Amino acid sequence: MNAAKTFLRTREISLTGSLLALLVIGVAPIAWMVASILASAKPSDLLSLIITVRQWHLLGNTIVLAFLVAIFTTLLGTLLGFLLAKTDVLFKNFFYPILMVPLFFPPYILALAWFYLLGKKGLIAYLIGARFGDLSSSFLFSFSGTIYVLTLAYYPVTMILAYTFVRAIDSSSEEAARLFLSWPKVMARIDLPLIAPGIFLGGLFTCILTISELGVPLFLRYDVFTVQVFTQFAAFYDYRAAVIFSIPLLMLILVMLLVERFSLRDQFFGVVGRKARSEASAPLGRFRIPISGLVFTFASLAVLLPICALFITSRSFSSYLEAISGSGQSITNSLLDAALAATAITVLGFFLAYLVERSRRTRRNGIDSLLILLFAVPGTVLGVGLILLWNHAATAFLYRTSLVILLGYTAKYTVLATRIQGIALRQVPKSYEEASRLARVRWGTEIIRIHIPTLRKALMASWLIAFIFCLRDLDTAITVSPPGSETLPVRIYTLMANSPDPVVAALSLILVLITLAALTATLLLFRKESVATAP
Amino acid sequence: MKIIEVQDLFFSYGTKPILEEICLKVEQGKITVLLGHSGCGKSTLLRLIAGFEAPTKGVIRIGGQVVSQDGQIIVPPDQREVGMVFQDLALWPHMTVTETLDFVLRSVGCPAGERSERIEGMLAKASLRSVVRAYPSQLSGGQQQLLALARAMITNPRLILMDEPLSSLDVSLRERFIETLLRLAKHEQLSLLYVTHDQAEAFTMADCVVVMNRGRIEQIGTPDEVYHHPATEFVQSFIGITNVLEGMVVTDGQVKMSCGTIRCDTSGLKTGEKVRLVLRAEELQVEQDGNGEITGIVERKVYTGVGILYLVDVGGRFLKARSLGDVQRGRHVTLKVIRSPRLNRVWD
Repeated sequence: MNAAKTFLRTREISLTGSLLALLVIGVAPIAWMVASILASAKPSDLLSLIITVRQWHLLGNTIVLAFLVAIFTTLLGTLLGFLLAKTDVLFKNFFYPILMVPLFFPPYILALAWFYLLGKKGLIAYLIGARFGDLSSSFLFSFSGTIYVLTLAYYPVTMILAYTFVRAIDSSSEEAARLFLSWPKVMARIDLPLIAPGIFLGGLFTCILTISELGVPLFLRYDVFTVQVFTQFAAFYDYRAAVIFSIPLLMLILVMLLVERFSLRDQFFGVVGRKARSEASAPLGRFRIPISGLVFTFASLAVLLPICALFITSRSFSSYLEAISGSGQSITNSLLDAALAATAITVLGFFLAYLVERSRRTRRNGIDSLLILLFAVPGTVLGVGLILLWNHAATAFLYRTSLVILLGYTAKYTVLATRIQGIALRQVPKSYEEASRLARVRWGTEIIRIHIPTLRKALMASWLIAFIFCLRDLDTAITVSPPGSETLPVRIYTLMANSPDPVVAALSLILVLITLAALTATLLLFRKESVATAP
Repeated sequence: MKIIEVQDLFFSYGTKPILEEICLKVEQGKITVLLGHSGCGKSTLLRLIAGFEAPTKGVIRIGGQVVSQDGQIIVPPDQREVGMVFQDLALWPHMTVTETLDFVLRSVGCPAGERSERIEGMLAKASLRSVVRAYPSQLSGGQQQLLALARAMITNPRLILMDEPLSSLDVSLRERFIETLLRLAKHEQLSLLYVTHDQAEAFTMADCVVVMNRGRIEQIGTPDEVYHHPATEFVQSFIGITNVLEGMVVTDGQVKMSCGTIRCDTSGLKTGEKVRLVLRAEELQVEQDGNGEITGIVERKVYTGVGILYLVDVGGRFLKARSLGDVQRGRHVTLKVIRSPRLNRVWD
């Protein structure tokens, strides 16, 4: 009896502790920020939230950009997801990981690569002529250019979701329809309605990512809320204005999340998680080669061309040496910060995943919503909150060191670890834990001897994914980085304005290569996992 | 008239053979049952007939028309005019009962005026009128089964394929569904090709039984023929409740086993030859007065619904037997072979 009580007590302490940690790390800064402005703001400040033309202009820009990017990425991602998951398009197993890559790059690196291609003195202008350079540059630095870059940055979100959902459809559902319909009609009438909630989720998710994005609109000079928050804070040191601009942004994100919660509730038809009996594949027939050619062309355009642009712009090996000698500290900072944050995220993610998966529904939904909210909150807003909360003499050890970056990363990306480990935890029978409890195993021992071995792959995957996302983060880090602690994305961003292009390109390529190495490790891990679990 | 003809069919996944030398004819208006262990290739044969897979070699004809031949699907599934009930039913979760049936009729180009009439008729036949607006997840197991059958039937296909459709139902629901299916099959003159691993189901349903084993057909015949005249050793041991024993011919007309010596027809066999005996439970009778050839103890009584099956411990292994009277557990008995078993030579 005592052993059981001790077990429950230690488990409750650790789980409650993890929830408290999340509240302190993620929720407290935002709550503090909102409360401080509400407490100190004059009525005119609050009125300016709603009545200024500037606010409406920013709101319009932000919504239109997010909406159009969501539409384009949904169309593109769904098409690619279907082609790769459901047809006999050539080399699909090669194309899928390749086409996934842009999601893991900082979007502003893509913008930079496209700048090297389409800028006034870009590679295209060099090859075709200066007149074309003027045209392509004015396209890139425009509303259309911003949509173009963000679409190429975020289409993998919908592609991955469409691909995953289509592959999870039980093939007998399709075969039942194949007895009456041709393949294209089966895809339109059976597959598409079944995965529609997933596609909608992808669109919504892209919408939220676009609203939160700072790097691309800042670089391409398109005025949205995140740009204003950052400008007010970093350029004019006006905390109050930054916070005021943050509030509509937060409300917008909240509305999006509510749409997600209420519109998608009970809309999933239980397609995901079911194991397809056979991988039925729609033959493309005489269109197989042309369509495969189109996919290849798109992959070249979206993935290979930007990487090549960075490579060509970096020109020589000396650029890499110069980049490393001038920014070696930033590379070290980035790797160290990302590794430490990924470790913290993985540990916190485990306890929260346990809490989410083994809790009552209301508690589960609450924690899940909180984690998604923190992920969706723009890094600039979170950064301002962190500074306001921790910028005191007593907490200088946090505010003036890389710890503040780690807090930002942990708050923002813990949802990734929680989701990955949660999916894995769902597949571990509860009876494993019950059996160990009957054997009077302690909670700590249960974690080490039962959970870590059974979730090993998920833990590694969540560490790698968290590492990649921390490594690519610009928005949070650029807002909170103390002097001497700047990360590689921040360093690249600050060098863009006043350093030679080859060095900036070399540094960007280094960041891309580190990300690709981590991504390759993740994909290999998942491949091994799927081989190991294959029947 | 033959609705399906399968000729010299082979099918393999990569280098692994799944089906070999399959020759089969299915009569129109009859129920043909493919019976065999799980993994023997019967569902694969069904999928080949439906057109979801192409045979590696061989020909499939439906209604006299070649639909698949030598690695090619000549007629795609949607033009074969077959209906199918899947093992997991494969009901579309985003469509209600009526929407499912309407969707199928629209897909085959049924005119609008005719659709509602046919849906009404089918709902009545399948007793689904009370749940027309329900989604599959809101239906009971039996109703889901009926919807799957209604979907397969509503286009009046030339043939209905059924892939172990009752595997997820409990016994009473299964019996009710079989009754409904038999009624519909008789009334509508349906041609059914039905896959199952359950002998009782197979013998209840079938006009013709096709016994399969390891990708090959072992025997095709009426239920009577298959039960009483099994063509191969596999069919002998697979059909009915059987005991498989090994022994040796000791003299003409006697076989010695580890559990005792029995009299049987040993013609064609020499003394000293090793043999395998297949004894059905009803051929082995429990005797309380010591008249049998094998001695043992009644270990368990299994109430099968149509009598009692006795599990008799014979030197550490259980033999299945029947009895004319009631015998108590733990009683010392003998077992009498009441019909000479078929002997199969065992090759070293």
